[in-house]
Amino acid sequence: MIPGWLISLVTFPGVVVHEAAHRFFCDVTDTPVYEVSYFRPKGKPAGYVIHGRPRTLGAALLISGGPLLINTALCSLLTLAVAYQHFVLNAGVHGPVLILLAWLGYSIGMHAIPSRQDAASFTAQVKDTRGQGFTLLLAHSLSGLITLANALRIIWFDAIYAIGVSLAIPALLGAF
Amino acid sequence: MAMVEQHAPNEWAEPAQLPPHTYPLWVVLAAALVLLAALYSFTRVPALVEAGRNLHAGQAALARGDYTTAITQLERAHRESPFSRKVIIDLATADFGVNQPQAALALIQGMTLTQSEWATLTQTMPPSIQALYHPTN
Repeated sequence: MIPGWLISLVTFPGVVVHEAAHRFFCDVTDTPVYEVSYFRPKGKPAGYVIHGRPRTLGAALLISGGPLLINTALCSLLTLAVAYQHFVLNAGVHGPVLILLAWLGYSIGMHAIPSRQDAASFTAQVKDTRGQGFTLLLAHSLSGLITLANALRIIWFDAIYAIGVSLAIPALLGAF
Repeated sequence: MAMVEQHAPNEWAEPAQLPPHTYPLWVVLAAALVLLAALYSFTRVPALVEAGRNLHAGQAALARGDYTTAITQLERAHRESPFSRKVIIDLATADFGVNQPQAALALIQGMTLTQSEWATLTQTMPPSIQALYHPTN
């Protein structure tokens, strides 16, 4: 089994974008940020953002789910040419630029899924704001999905997700 | 990769808050590079989509035995994506179909063919040429 820190090291652009996405949505929602580490080689976690309490549930959702939006969108754009070339035309990935695009895109895509702490943070916010009924159910459902996705990392679900994202636009363009 | 939430501090013990929208220079530069890379990837897409369309049109023509139309479409796709194995195999199949074995052989020269590619090629490849090829493990 490949150690997590090694995967984080190889895919470090994804860690940086993940933390930058948290930070960006903290700033956008006027949530105070006290400390940020965009990447710590061999650190566990590989990066983090320490912030204050978001003002609303929507803000909490944006902050927790920010990486899912930003990393997924960037992965989709960065791997568009590579995915088309490799999966649609069966032309392989030739040249340093395409190899760089593939590494960057898939690294970023692999870190799109929020961490368990992200999910726990959002659920705690729902509870603290006395969210109940549908809101609490939604929070628990999201938290459950995120926990499941994190557990499935053992079978490279993060990489499978990144490849799936890269195939989404070619599929929408009717390439398959 | 974790986000750690911290309760809002009391006024008398407030930790230093980072000014909003301030990022280290290397993060800003990395973000600019990522956006440039995304833009570059995006600019390559129209040609690749066009190659994909020509490939599909060529494959459709090949399926109905219209080798001349298939060659026209697949040659366009080959110009747009010269490394595409699908395009090369289909174009060679169409070339064999119009009795242009030299053009077909030039395309597949030096390639190690998969079983599926071989099955496509032998739809039109003359048996005398098929006899020149041998399977490898």
